[in-house]
Amino acid sequence: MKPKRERYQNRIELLQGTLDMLILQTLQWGPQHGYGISQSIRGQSGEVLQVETGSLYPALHRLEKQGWVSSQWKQTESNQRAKFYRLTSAGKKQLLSEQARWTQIVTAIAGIMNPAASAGQ
Amino acid sequence: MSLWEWLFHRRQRDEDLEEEVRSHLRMAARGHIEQGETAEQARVSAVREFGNVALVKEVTRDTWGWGWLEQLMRDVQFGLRMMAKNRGFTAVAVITLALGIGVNTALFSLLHDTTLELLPISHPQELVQLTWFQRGNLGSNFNWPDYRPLLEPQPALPGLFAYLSREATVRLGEASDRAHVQQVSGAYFSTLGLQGFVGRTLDAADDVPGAAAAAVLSYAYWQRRFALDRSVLGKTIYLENTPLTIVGVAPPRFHGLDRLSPPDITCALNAVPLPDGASYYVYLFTRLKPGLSLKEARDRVTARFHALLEGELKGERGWMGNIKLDVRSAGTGEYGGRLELGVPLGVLGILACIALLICCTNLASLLLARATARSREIAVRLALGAGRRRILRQLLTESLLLGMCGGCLGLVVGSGAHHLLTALLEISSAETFQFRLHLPLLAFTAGVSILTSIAFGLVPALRITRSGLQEVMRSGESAAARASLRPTRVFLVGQVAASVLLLTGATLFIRTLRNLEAVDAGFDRDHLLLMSIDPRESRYQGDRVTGLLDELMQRLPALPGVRSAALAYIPVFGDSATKNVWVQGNAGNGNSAVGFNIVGPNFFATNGIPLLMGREFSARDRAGAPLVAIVNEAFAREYFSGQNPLGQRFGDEGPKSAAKYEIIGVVKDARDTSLRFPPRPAIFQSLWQFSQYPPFVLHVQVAGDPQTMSASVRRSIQGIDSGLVVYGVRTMTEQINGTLHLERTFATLCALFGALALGLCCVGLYGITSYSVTRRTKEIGIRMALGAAPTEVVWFFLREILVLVGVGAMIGTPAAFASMRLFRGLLFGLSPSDPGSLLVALLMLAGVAAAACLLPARRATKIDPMVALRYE
Repeated sequence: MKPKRERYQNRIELLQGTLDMLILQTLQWGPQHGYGISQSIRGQSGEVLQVETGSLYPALHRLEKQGWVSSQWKQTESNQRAKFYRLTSAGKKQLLSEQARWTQIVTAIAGIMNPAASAGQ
Repeated sequence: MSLWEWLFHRRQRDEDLEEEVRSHLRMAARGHIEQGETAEQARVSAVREFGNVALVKEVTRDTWGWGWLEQLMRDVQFGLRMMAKNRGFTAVAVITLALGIGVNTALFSLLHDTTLELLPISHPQELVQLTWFQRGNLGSNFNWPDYRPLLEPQPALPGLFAYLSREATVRLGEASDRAHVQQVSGAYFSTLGLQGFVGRTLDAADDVPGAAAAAVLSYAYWQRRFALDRSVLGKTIYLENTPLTIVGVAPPRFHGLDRLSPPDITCALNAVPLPDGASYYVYLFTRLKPGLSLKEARDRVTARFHALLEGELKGERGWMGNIKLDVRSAGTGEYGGRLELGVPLGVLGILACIALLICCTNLASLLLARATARSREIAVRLALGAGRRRILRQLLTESLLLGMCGGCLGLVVGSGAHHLLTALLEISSAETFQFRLHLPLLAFTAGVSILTSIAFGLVPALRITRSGLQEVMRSGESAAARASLRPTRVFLVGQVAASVLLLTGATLFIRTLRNLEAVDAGFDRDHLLLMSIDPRESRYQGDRVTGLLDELMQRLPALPGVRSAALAYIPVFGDSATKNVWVQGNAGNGNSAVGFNIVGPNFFATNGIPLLMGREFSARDRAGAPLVAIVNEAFAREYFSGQNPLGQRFGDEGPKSAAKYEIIGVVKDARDTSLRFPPRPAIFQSLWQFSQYPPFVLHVQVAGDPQTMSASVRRSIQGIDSGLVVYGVRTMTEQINGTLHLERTFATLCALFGALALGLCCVGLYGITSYSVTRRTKEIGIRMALGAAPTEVVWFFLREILVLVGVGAMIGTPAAFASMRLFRGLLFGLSPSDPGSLLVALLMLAGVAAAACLLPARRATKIDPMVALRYE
């Protein structure tokens, strides 16, 4: 049975910095290949965030260039060759700092969008 | 990724990325299969979800960081392919550029070596030189020993030294040689901070009168004369009878403080006596340590000079009183000699720049013509989404490639031009001015190439990329390109005028030279060898001189190939000596100067000057015998009109001496200083009666070509006495050419630049015609379809060119006449407005112009009307 193809794909344009953070976070759970990362982000965000390959792969290569991830060719479970990306220690540090920043931004925006809630704190 | 990775591993990276994308698609397809699609459907869905595979790969590759380099490589490859495809155009462009850039490079090399290059000493910026200013004249040479008190006992400035240069005879063992000798004061080497390459240099202890004289050789002299033999240290050489011990060799790149006359041997100023009878000039230099400013130095020197004027130089105060001394920076060496070169170099520099400018405009117009053919390609590219800047970059890369090729070839042209220039400017110390590819030169050439590329490439590139696609597709050309070529036409007219001017000048000068060649000089031009010999310096004094010369004159004619030989005070042609005479029984004496020479026996026979009356000098006419003289025809005409001058008398020491000499012979007139002027009255005295005037000029008449005989004659003379110094060996032809230096220089310059201008005109005319043809292809097609003959089509374009050339000629002709008038003094046998020369120039121009435009015009006739009509 053919799955219903959605006519309107909800593709949210992710800011470059945010995408980097999401990728690093995904890799925290272990090395993963590009397809796996995009599936993981899609799944974990409840089908809301669907990362374009045109953003994903440049981001991965950029992260590698900056030394936050490293790559290696390995076999998948189905015995296919794939390029696995892994978080480096520098990447871990970067992830922490980005998480902190993200929290900061979110709190700031929440302060504007829900003034009553933050006023009540 | 790093540059290293990019250079060597990028294909691997590309393949990696390819593999990565493939594996992603595989896994995505598998995911779809698991969702129930068929294998084929899964594959399609996976690809669709992925997006534009090529674009993703492209964007990912961009993150690797070397995208611009890759683009550059691709542009360069494309440019090279375009160049290979249009070989004719590329060849013309590269050659044009090479000529323009090459001439500039050669001039820069000369300019750099003579005026810009700092001396190879430590901290050359600190070096300063003393100069004097008197009555509107500026100089850097100081009378010696007048200015000695500035150096001793205490120098006016710390480290002040003096040096003088002269030619002298140097003897090592039995062999003698002429060398350039420099005599320096004690502080020379220490102030300059030079160590000996081998051995030591001179210091203050060597500069004491009576000290054992030491000599330091220059590296070039050591190489040339002693073949870098280190055992030369400690040997003794003789400088005019003074023994010098060789104590060291100067560093290799040091050519003295004046590169135009590099010294071979350096010795002390006070320890080696200077020959009498000449005046000497020194140059004064020192180093200003950081604490001392130029102004302070100037004040100190001036104060000391004034003190001297009160003290030791009191007697000279009359004429030295108004001298002002100055101290100027001299990091590039002694400036006086270079001033002579300044003006010619400047003029040549301007000419070279103009030539380069013309090259650029020509190439720009050529490129514009070619660009029209590519305007469709570019318009399509723009429509497909290429950025304007991207295309501009690619077009500029193509221009830069041309420029670089032109620059490389220009270096080759430059070395040839450099050779020519040093000969033209008569720079004799050519080995110190070699065309070497050092950094400033390469930087200059690269810079000029790049600037030129931008100059001729930018405007056409901008014009092409400005066009809109619709317009181009419709009419086959862009509005911008169609916009008038007026600037190009104006330039071309200017070039034609310049060509007319230069070619006329060249023709005039060449014909002048030929006229001068054809002049009957009155002596034998083709079989004479001249050389200077100086017995005085080679240990011969007094009577031994006469004995030596006698022997020489006896043995020389017996040598193989030598027909006759004679000595004289000055050469029969080329130098000039005059004196006043008083003729017995002639009123109005002593007012005009006559030429004179002091000659030995056989002089006139050797030189091929016919003896009309009486006899030549002989062994009879020695010191002690009655004073005799020979005169020429002009003298006889002037003072004895009609009468027999033999037996008449004249004198050269005032009216009372009118009976001093008896005239014993009359010779035919011969030109003496210049081929231009008719012979003037001249007298000849006997050498044996005045032998205290060495050096002598030996004239040798040879059978056959004097050029080939010169080495053997020289050897024979040294075989007679190896201590005899023979120098300045030259054939009569060379001697005559020496007096024609200016004319020959101008002829060469005009011819060269005329050829260059003509060549550039050719290129320009070709470009403009080619452009016309391309632009009007459709029109030609229509005309031919309607029945126009090919010749009519050719005439169509020829007419356009003829108009341009005609206008140029009309401007050029009066310009040529006007400027040639300035050089009237250099012409001979021609008037500045000589129509024949102008005609030759115009014919050359017309011929070249016709050839240049015939090629594209013929291309026009070959256009198939059907193709042309369809050519949108």
